Amino acid sequence: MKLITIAIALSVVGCYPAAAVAETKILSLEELRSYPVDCKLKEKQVAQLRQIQKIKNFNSNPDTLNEYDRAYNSRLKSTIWWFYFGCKK
Amino acid sequence: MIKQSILISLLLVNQIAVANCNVRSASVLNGQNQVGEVTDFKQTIVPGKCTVQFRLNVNGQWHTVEETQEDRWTKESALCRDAIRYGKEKLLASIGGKFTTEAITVCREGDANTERLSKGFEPVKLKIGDKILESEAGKSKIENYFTHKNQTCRMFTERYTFKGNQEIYNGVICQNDRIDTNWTVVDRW
Repeated sequence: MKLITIAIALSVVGCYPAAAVAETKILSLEELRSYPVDCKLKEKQVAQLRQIQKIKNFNSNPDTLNEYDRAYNSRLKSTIWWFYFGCKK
Repeated sequence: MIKQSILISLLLVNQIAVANCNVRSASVLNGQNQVGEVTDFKQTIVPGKCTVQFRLNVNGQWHTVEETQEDRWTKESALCRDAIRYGKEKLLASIGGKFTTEAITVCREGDANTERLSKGFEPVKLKIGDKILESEAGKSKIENYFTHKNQTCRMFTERYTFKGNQEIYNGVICQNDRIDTNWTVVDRW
């Protein structure tokens, strides 16, 4: 019984992040460029973009990134920040 | 939608402009010191000239910095920004630390006849977590202030010319508290 409980606990702990990652679609740079920002969906969209950011895990120093990653990181961050200065409360 | 795309596009980094530049070498200071916040900040502006005075905590000790930048062709806000940076750099140079020799660039940009002479140091680039004065972070095309985590924030844009390319960085600074002169770099790209 103990073993079964431990096995279930391990599978839940071990699988949850993988499931969350699997659910997040990694947008291409082109998709990111045409991302349909919508203030009404701010929370959901920011969460999605932050999840991509977490998965991509770019170095915080843009000088260390290659051209594509730098462009992707720029678009991702500027889109996230857009919700803060672009959406009126 | 188009407006939103334009706004986002303005924040993008990968804009590289080639300028006519000569590369020289100079000694620069590597960031080995613990640089704290600026306090008692004062600035005096007259046309074509900005003098800044402030106290800065480095490695736990307070130092007074005074620096003047003059250039009749440069905006006073940019002169003040340079004065703060060069004042900090001179202080750090006087305190000591590890020096390396790096290339610096003297440029004549595009058709402009004004030669932008280097003032001895390659500008120190901002990084996330830096505590700075608001005027140290260049203006962004997105000028409005906004609130993030109960702090007043704004976008900034930095431009550096290096090896003939102009590098542009964007980011966000937030005021440490409502009456504080110090701001923190919270993001940069």
